[in-house]
Amino acid sequence: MNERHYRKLLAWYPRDHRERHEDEMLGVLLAGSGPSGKETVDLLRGALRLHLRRMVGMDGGIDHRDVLAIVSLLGPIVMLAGAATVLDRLVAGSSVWRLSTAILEFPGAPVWAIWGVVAVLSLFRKRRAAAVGAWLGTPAFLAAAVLGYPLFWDSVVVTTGWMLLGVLVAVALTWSPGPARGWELVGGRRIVVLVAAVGTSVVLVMKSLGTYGVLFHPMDITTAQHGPVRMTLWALALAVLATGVVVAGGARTREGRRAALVLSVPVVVSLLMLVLPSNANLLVATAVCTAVPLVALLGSGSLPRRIRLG
Amino acid sequence: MSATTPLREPTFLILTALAARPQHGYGILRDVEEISQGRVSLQAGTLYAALDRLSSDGWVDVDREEVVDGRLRRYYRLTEPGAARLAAEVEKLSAHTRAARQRLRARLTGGTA
Repeated sequence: MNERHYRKLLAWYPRDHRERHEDEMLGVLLAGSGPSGKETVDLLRGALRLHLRRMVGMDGGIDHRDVLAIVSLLGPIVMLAGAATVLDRLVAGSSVWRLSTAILEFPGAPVWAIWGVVAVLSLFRKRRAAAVGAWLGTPAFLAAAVLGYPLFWDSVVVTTGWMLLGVLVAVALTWSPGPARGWELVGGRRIVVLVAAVGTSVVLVMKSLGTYGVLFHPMDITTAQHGPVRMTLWALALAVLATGVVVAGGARTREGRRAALVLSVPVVVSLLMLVLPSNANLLVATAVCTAVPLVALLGSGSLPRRIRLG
Repeated sequence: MSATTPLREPTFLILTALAARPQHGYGILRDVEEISQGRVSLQAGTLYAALDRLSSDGWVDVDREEVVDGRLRRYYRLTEPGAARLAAEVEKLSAHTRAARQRLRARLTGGTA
């Protein structure tokens, strides 16, 4: 009788805690003087505390090395979704002459090529080479912005999400057990899912041509400018990408969910840009688009808050 | 939990209960009651929420497991960082207690600042 009562209360505890401690806690509770109101309140408060701790990642029960290992494997693939804008132009310019024009027109193209190489190296579990590529590929966004665009800050803002994810991928490739461990955690099948999601997302963005250049405008203005069809395609592209990273990261494990949050940075930044007012200062827009995802990642325990030396 | 944050009373008592030897959950509850001379009576919910946090902070670890009457009994032990943290807290509390005792004595003997 008492056991059933206690089991009902323990059912409120987080799954991982139940798996590890339910039997043990039951033993402690049954050894006591029997159920009481005070004990019930205490058990429910304990369950709530553990859920909250897990939600904001305060319990330290997340292996950040595994989170980053997943990011090191899947991050470079997600990065390729950003190449959609350039790909669209490259596909349009099919002749060699036009191709070279497109590259001149879009100095970001070689940067995405670097990330393509990083993705392949990562898939082949060449951690160090991929890390070097990622460390080159991230500042290359800035270089491309300086060299290729008259409106430097415009281009910086537009690539904020990719630069931020680029830094996180570079960090993950450098300081985590790397793609080999990531592969152990997610498996080949989920990588295929992510590749399919990124591919679909790229096609959808290409079909919604024109939307991605006008990112920091309120939804009503953007819709008025581009029409509901293009905006729907753009929203679908983000939804497919977000679903892909959640499925590939692994929604069932805490590390997988945290990795998915890290990998969703470009999606979050795209949404932020959409809600930023059209007259937003570009520097402020960049700062907001960088700070909000970082705070969310630190708050959810997706990134380690302390760096342990030695 | 930072090394400078004062330990809450249940945490202090749980670490104290584990200071001399590893104990299982029920043993910790009884010991905490004994250490506090019946003033603090921890319940299982509070104990396991605390153990979850102390384990993740690396202050407490599982020592061994036993099966008694068909039920799992897990023994917890204080780790070196846990012992160091408890010792630091004891040192701080002792210094405060000494200071408080001196001030009270001065007050009783009629001293003024």
